[in-house]
Amino acid sequence: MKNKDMTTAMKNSISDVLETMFFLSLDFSDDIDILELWNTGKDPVIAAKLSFSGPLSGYAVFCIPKKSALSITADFMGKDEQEISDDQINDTIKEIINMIIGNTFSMYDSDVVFDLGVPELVEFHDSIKGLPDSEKSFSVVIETMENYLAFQMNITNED
Amino acid sequence: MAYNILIVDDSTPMRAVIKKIVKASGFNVGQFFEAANGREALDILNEEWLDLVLTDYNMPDMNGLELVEEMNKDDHLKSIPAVMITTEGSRERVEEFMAKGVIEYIKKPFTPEQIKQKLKHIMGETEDEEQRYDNGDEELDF
Repeated sequence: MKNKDMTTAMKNSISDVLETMFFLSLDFSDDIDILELWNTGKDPVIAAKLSFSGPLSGYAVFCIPKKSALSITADFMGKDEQEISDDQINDTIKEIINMIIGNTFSMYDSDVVFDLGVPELVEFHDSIKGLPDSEKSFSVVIETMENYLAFQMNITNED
Repeated sequence: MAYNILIVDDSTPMRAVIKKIVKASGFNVGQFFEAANGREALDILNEEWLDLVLTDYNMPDMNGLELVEEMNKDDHLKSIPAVMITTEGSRERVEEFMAKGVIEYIKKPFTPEQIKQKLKHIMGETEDEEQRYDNGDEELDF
């Protein structure tokens, strides 16, 4: 796997999904450490994890402040924020990671099959590894809605 | 003609969004029905008059492909077009969908215009064969 190619596919996928389905405008913030983003613990952060297997195996994690997740879910469903339940927020976050990672692999190589697992909610600090970007782990941080969202992909096995 | 559409997805927000995008597309819808998995979908299909099924692939209990296979075992249900709406975009997986009776697939993310073109084509409202595998900037040439 070429880290640069996968990072490019992931960034293109993030833009594609968030702009097309969620009508968000976004910028990528390459110089931000995701562990330092929310280290104060003031703002609750929701994290969703999705495992995958195929030519590459591993998992991806998507992290988003709860405040942003509520706003995105309300817009996504066409409802007011007061009408949105925690279950709907969680389902939306899981749908986002599912769409983005599925789309990332299609963009990376549409000739191979990647099997995606079922997205699950996880604890932010347990799921994000403070590793430098490498061939096996890389992160993408996005600035949108005056806040940050982050993706991390960890490759545990490569055929 | 207004079409009754069954949306099958285990995600409540995704069902809401599909409904919103189909409405926004201007495609002529009579009534929407919703199911959270293939098994619920079969119950609704056996009780209501449906013209079209839009189903997710990955769902608990009975996934989208199993739903289509069950529909194809039934003389009445097999005449209802089933469309897979999925993040699965590999050529191999799409060919598997088509071989097992899925009439069309729509890859997430999608726009109202893309969904309108696909649905109109399926319901015979357009003859534009070039739209069949066209999903935005991606073309699958079988």
